[in-house]
Order: sequence, then C-alpha cells, then structure tokens
Amino acid sequence: MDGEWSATLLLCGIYSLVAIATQLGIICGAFSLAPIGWMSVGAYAAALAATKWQVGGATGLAIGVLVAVVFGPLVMLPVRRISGLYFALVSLAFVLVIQSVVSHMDYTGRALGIFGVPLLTNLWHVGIALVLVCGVAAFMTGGWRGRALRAAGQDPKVAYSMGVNVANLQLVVGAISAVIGVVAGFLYAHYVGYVDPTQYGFAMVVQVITMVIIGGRGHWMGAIIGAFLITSLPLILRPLAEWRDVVNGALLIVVAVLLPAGIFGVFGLFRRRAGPVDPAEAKAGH
Amino acid sequence: MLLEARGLHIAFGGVIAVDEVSFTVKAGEILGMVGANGSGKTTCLNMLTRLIAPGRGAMMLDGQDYTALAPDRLVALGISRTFQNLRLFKDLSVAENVALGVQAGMQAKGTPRRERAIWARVHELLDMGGIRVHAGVLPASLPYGTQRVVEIARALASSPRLVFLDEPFAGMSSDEARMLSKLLLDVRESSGMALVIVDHNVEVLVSVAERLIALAEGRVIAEGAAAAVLSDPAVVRSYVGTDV
Ligand SMILES: Nc1ncnc2c1ncn2[C@@H]1O[C@H](COP(=O)(O)OP(=O)(O)OP(=O)(O)O)[C@@H](O)[C@H]1O
Ligand SMILES: [Mg+2]
Repeated sequence: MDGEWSATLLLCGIYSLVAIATQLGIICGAFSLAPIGWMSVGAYAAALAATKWQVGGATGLAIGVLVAVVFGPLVMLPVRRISGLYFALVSLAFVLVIQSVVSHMDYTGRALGIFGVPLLTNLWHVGIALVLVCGVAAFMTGGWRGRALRAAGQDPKVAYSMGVNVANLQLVVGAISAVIGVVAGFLYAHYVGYVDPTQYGFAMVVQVITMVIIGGRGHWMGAIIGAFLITSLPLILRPLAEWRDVVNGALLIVVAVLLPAGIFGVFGLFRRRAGPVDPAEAKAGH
Repeated sequence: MLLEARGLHIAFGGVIAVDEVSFTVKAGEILGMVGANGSGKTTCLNMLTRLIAPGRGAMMLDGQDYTALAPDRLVALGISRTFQNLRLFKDLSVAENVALGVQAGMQAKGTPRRERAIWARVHELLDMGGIRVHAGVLPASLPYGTQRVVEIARALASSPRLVFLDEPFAGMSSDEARMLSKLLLDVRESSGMALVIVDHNVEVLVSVAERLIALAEGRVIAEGAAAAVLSDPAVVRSYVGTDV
C-alpha cells in the first residue's frame, strides 16, 4: 500500500477511537469533550514511560489506563449538576487544564513537549484497538444496555423511573471513554514520535466534534464514518489542501442542513426498531 | 393495604402544593383521583413515585416504607407510572419504549434480560394495546391518543403491582377512552394490579374506578364511593368556575 494512504488509514483509526469515546458520552446524555484530554494523558504516559520512567511501552499504557479508570468517572461527575452545553464547557475546561499543566511543567517538557518516543505504532495495532473498541461500543449500545443508555440520554428522569440508574451508567461511560482516549493518545504518540501540548487542544476538540456531527449522532458507527471522512479528506482533495478548514466547515453546514442525523442517520433509517420477527409468525405470512 | 400515603406535604417556594394528604389503596383496587387544575394531583403522584422527595410524610408499599428510596428502585418494588405530558423517549421506537418497561421488570425479578424474551413480551403487550402495527415507528409520528396507549403499555410492561396514571384519557376520543378503560379493567382482572388514575374526565373515570378521592388546594376534601364524592358540597364548590 502507498505509504501516504496507509498513514492516513492509521490516523483514521486513531481518530475513530476518540470519536467513538465522545459518541458514547453523547448517547448517554453526557456531551463530554474529556476524551481529548484523556488522549493527551495517554500520549504523555507513552512519552514519559519511554524517556523518563524507563519502563516498557506496555507498562506506560497500563499506567495511563489505570489513571483513566480512576479519574474518568470523576471528570464525568459534574453531569449530575449540569447538562447539555454547560457540561460540554466544563469538560472542555478539563482538556484545557491538562494542556496548560503539561505546558508549564518541566517534567513534561513544557511547550516543547517530549521527543524520542519510539515509533512503534503500526496499522495492526490501530486495527486491533479499533476492533476491540467497536466491540465495547456495540456491547454498551446493544440490547437492554443500549436502550437504557439511550433512554438515560433522552430523558433521565423517566429513565430513572424505568429502573435505569442514570448517574451510575454515566460514570461507567466516563471510565470507558477515558480508557479509549488514553489508548488513542498512546498509539498516536508512538506513531508521530513526540508529544507537545498543542496536539491535544482546541483544534483537536473542533476536529472531533465535526467528525461526530458529520458521521451521525446517536450511533458509534457514525463516529467512525465521520472520523474516516474528515481525516482522509485532505488526501482526497489534495488540490484544495490550503482550503482544508473551509472544506470541513462547508461539509459540516451541508450535513447539518441536509442530514441532521448525520451520514449514519441515512443508514439508521433501515435500523430494525420493531424487534426481531418471530420466525413462526413470518412463515404464517404476517 | 398495598399503598399507604401518610401526611404527604410539599411546598414550592411559599406555595403549598400538597398539604397533609393521606390515603390508601388496596391490592387490585382502582382508585380515581379528581380535583380542579392545580389542586396537587400530579404533585402527589410525583412524590408517590419518588420523582420529587416529599417535604414531610411517609409512603409505604405493603408496609415497607419507601419514602427515601432512590427513584430507580421503585420498579423493583412494583410501582410504575405514566405522565400527564407524554414522556415517551422520542428517539426510541414504540417497541423500544415498551421494551424498556419489560427489561425493567425482568431486572426487578432477577430474570436474565435476553433480547428474545424481551421482544416476545413486547409484542404481547403491543398486541394487547392494539398497537403492534406501530412497533417500528417513532412515537411522535402517532396520534396523541395512540401515544398515550404506548405510554400505558410501557408502564404495564414491568408487571407492576401499582400503576399511577396521570390523565390517561386526556386528548382521547370517546371511543378511544372506552377502549382504554376496557383494557385497564382487563389488565386488572388478569394481573391483579392496583391503579391510581388521575383524570378530569369524570364520566370515564367513574366507569373504571371503585372509589374516588377528591383534592382541592392540596388537601383531600372527600373520599369514598363515586356518587357520594361527586355530590359532596365541598367537591362541587371546588369545581365552581372551572371547566369540569
Ligand atoms: N415544580 C414546581 N415548582 C413550583 N410550583 C409547582 C411545581 N409543581 C407544581 N407546582 C404547583 O403546585 C400546585 C399543584 O400542581 P399540580 O400540577 O400538582 O396540580 P394538578 O392537580 O396536577 O393540576 P392539573 O389538573 O392542571 O394537572 C400548582 O399550584 C402548581 O403551580
Ligand atoms: Mg396534573
């Protein structure tokens, strides 16, 4: 495969991970941008493991994941008090605080970041991570669990009265999406070979939101569609390279106006909502 | 006694919405609740289903005090409800809405929530309500009366012992209302669940409820057989000037 295409494919995969993490939050009623902050935690864990702690990559990843499991739910906590865009803003603050902390500490190399992260990530790693994360997303959003998750996102009060512990569910999603973010950042750092604070800031936030909206809110597959589209667009439209942001913006407007449910929404129309048809009944000609 | 409400009281700001309300519901009984607009009926239901915490008072189900129980634990006790302003999950299909009720009931009983079992029960309920043809559509595409039936099917889906219905007949044609009251009586017959029904449509309400309780300004002003309650001077007075 052409090196440039395989590089793009790899980035598509990594972005898909963060987009799925963000999407899971949106589905359960917690529009959180924290996964981008977690990505930075994963990337710095990779860099510090390789350069400062002198431990293997796997240990660095394990440390990052551990931090995510413990603090991921914590970052999700404010959703109990505030919701919607206000909560999104609080989660954005988390992203910016992490960015600001790493750019002021000598230990994390300040604004320069950390170089010398071994280039280990290949397409296989990303592919395996993506398959695993898709499995987790399908598990969380399928069957009774998925209905509970979506109910919590749409009307938490009624969801409670249907026996759904909305708050706990959101904390679990907080942990899962934080772990996914850490994995994405870890893979990214080992792919580009360095970390610096500008990588996981506001630009990345806008990028991920665009992916989620264009791909389609409400389903994790939409996140993947959006991630692949937005990431590969510069390569497809190489002649328009300088106009990348304009093209992204135009695409966002077109999708928002014409396909309010996102690209996946078009496929979503064919989703089975009535439940499986009873085979005996199907034979009887119903 | 299945349900016992003791001295329920709550005020919003300075306004006392519900004032020392006490009443009981026997197992399998259908209790009608009437009262002018703003008399505190919905607020009573909100407390009894733990959506809001009572300021004072206690609520017992089968002698078990559930006043401080978390709202998501009520399904397990056997309590479910509908809402005055339809509260169906708008991005879930009719069948998925009902499935949420079914899975809540299974969770309460500790039965494994397998898709096959859930959908079998969902289709049973949809058939019972005559809404099977709408299984795959979003609730908003249905007429108001049909959406009410969907919400009621969702409430019945968890096989509760006590169901609170907040104005189930509102916005229904008289045919729809008649069909719904028959459905409610059938369900009570077969499952033995008790119902507390709030409604302004007294005629239909009296056709299903064995007993009425009347509220005015947050207080119980009459309780007992329908005819007696409706002719009670206090009740008549509380309705003067309203459209009922
Ligand atoms: N959350 C709230 N905040 C402030 N006041 C409230 C709240 N909920 C209810 N009230 C007030 O409490 C009183 C009782 O309201 P409630 O909705 O219980 O009446 P209702 O009997 O259900 O009336 P309707 O027949 O119109 O549905 C009203 O004066 C209402 O304005
Ligand atoms: Mg009311």
